[in-house]
Amino acid sequence: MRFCPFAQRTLLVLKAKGIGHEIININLKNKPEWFFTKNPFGLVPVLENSQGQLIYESAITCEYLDEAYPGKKLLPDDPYEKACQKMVFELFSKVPPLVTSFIRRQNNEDGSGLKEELRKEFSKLEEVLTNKKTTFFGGNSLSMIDYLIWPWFERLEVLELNECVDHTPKLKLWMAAMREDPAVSSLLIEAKAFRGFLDLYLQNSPEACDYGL
Amino acid sequence: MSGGSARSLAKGSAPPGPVPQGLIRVYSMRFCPFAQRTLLVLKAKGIGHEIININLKNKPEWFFTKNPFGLVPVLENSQGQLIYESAITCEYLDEAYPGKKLLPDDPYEKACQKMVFELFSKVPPLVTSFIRRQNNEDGSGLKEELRKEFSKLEEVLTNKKTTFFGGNSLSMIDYLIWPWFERLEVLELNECVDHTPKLKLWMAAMREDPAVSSLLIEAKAFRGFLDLYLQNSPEACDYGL
Repeated sequence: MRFCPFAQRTLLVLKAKGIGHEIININLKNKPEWFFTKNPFGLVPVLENSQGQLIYESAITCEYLDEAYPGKKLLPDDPYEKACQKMVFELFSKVPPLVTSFIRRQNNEDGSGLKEELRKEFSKLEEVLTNKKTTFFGGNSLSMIDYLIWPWFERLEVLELNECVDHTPKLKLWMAAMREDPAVSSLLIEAKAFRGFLDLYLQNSPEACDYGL
Repeated sequence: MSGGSARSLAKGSAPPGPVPQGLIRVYSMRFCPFAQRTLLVLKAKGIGHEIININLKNKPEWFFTKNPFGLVPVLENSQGQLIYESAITCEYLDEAYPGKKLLPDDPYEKACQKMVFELFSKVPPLVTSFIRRQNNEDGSGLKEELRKEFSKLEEVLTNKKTTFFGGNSLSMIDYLIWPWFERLEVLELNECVDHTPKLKLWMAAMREDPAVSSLLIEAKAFRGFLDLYLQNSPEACDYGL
């Protein structure tokens, strides 16, 4: 789905590794019955190959692509370095539900509590960059962990949450560096389109997923 | 391999020294199902290790320097590298140490094990909710939810037509989910597998595994631990020692 941050993880890896692929977008507010035969959870992203093998759960799809396809390895070979990327992924894990709660908050809530919680989570990530003394979360080159967390940082501006990185300068620099990446920049979603999608999505409109088409 | 039955370290204890060469250290707790995953993999792969038990109801201050989340299990090696999150520790051990590979090499088969792990993921919080329910709640709603989750796992075994979740041999996914199935009997939740016969057979097959059987926790000891743990007693983690 064109606006889904989880599916964007998979698209980033496909782009970064130059893997030939076709995309079928799913209307998440009006799912085809057959989609549940692709993923019993009924969620995107799902990978399907020519052998009919199906892989779902965004992080699993990304790791599968890195292992199954040649070219630049996005995950390190070293078991400890790979484990470090997964521990950073765990450190990041509260961000998606917090952003979802912020998006879904009622009109009378000002969201300042959620913003404070987000700042807290971002401080943990800032600490990683401070300790590692590198630009990216896996070292001086962009790697898997950066792609896995990027989609939520891309959405901070349109959600008016950019202030949450005011006290995390390394994270801000990382965001700027990410925008320079070809895969990231090729998949950037235009702010007006995202806003249009989001307004419809929050109203459960079956038109949301195709906003702008 | 030492320390499995050692008293736990609590607040005020001195931080342990460096890990001896040739061993890997695991910070654990004798009754923790998450730490049991790591112990199972260490046993299954014959990895030389030492165990330091942590008093989870009275944590040493230094423990947060090992894992900022303050949870077990944590691995520490002689280079001082720290790895936490149970599934990450298990995958690290499989990749870093020789011997039988518990995860498949094939990317799709490996992905399948991770998808089953995701299918299982609602079980630990459901079991925790059941354990923590108040006295006036009969838990039947939670039991029904558990049955539902177990049916999903039964479906995997039905589709695969194998004994274990990764094929006809025991592998990583089986060890990752086992600790909760071991606890069903003592928690009086065995009825939740009444309608999932393949899962029942899998449980019996698991008990035959040397790593599993060597780490089985005696029912009375677990019950003793649990009663104290639910009262937040700092004695819980050392019950029976």
